[in-house]
Amino acid sequence: MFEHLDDPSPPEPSARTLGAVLARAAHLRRRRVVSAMGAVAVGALSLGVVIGAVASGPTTSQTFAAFDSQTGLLALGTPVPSTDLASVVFVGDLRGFALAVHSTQTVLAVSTDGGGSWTVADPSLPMSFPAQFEFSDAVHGYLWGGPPSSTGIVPLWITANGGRTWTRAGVGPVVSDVSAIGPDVWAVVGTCPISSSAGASCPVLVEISTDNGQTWAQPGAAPPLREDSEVSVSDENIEMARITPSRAYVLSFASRAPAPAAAGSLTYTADGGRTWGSRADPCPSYFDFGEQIAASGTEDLWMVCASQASAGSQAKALYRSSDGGEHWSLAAAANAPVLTGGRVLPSGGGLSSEGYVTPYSLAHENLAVLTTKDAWLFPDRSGVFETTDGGHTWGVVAGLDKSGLVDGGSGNVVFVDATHGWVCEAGSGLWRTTNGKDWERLGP
Amino acid sequence: MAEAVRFEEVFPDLYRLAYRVSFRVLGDRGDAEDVAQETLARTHLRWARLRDSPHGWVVTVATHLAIDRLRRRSRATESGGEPVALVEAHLSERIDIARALGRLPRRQREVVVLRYLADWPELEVADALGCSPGTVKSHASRGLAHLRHQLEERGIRGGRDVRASG
Repeated sequence: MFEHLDDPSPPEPSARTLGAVLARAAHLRRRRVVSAMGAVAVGALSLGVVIGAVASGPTTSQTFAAFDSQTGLLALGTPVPSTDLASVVFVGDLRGFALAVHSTQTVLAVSTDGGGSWTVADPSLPMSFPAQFEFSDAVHGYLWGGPPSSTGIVPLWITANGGRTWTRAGVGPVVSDVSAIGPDVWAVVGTCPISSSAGASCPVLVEISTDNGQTWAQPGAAPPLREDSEVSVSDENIEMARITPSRAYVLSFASRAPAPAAAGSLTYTADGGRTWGSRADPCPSYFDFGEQIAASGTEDLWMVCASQASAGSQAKALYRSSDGGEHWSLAAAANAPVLTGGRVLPSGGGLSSEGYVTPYSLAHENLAVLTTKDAWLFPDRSGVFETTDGGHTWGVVAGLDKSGLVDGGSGNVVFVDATHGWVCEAGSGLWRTTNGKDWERLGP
Repeated sequence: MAEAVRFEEVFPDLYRLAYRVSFRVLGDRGDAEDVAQETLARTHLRWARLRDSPHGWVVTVATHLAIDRLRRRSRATESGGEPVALVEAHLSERIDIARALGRLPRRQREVVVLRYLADWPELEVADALGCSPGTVKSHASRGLAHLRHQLEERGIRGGRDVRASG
């Protein structure tokens, strides 16, 4: 009866599809906080099995088979295929850490050759994918942001031995974002456990540790941020951009689509968190579904604002500030009026409406800014875009496409300096540049 | 005791099902993928309860999400916004089908969606809804008549093609 309405060539579900579904499920779960945590954790952690089942190409399949055929906890040092990596961080041009999934476990993998090969450093992390993590050096690391406990707690876990063992940090109850510069670690903390229904508006604190996360204190006044306990503290709607050891910005926004609403809140400190001031969030209504902030220096800020997403498209806007957020100017926009209540920003450049910058991104870092001119953007379900003119025009990174990056995936892009960067596409693989221009695919 | 079905094992089949239903309503690949993902995410959250019989729930949720999205798209288009979707084939027909489905009584709508939007056999529809095949046949017949009437009023092909089969 309705066969004539069918898609003649429907897309086949892939590992990335499953990854996106599980990330959405985790996002929904955070909002609902049901007590049975096992389903999400087990489902998310099982990503690798399905990735292996659906990955294409004999080499990849064989690698997956070898990895996935091992049962139980993986032994330390077990090789991890790059196609199993979910997200990566690097602490230099050679040493990196990655989250991977194996059976029902979330695994920490380590590389000492710039991402060419990976081995298991911890076969069973205390927090499950999609967690966030960061390392400040080869031994000190931080893990947070996974699914909340049945009581709405999202703890921070720290390691002082390269990820082999983890201890729970004395900060909480809900750790939303973490930034470490040397032993100096900052955590954005929600003061109310995540609840299953709209509750009191809760203060947001920034707590600081000067000893690699061992002890924590609040240095001064709390930033002027409050979050609804149901909505955004603990999930991906709050983000810290730490520019120097003493200067940081905390961005808070809520996905309120489709209703227009005030933009998010942006606060900053320039004195190590003793005092906080407010800055205007430049994102206009309808462009505040997903926001990302990044900086290349103490005064140079980039803010990507994104609308509700649909049909593979999303209206986006890029605002720049050269005075630490005092003033903002529109650098480029991509319009999808149906997603912005008809509001159209001057395009003025080449941002793509392709792909999503969303709170439920599989990876949480879609924007990497290196200088006042150079940046990369990796929206979900899209390719990787780069700019070399301060964000006015953007183009697809052709070298990645040519070397096998699948257009339509999800992942993260990270740089440790002006020339060394990595793109991790979950379920697809890992790419590296050593000159900031040319990209090579790494590992099996 | 049989081992519980894991979500990951049936994910591809459920995703294809949700996508097919969504695409029939929406006619846009990106939107249908979004709806299918949202449907499967919700399914995953309820997997402990749904794993023995998830298909009917998936069809129902995907249909509701797709109809909601089509309504929003329709309203945005009517208010002057340009639709993002690149594929708009049969758009007016899809909108009319969505509206017509929305006007059916609940049980008739459930039967029509499962029987004709998801192409399920009568026996499976009966099993999913916990009623007899005769009841399914009755609801399907009445629902189709209702649907056909509304669609033919608009000169929609789906109306002319409606056949009370099986």
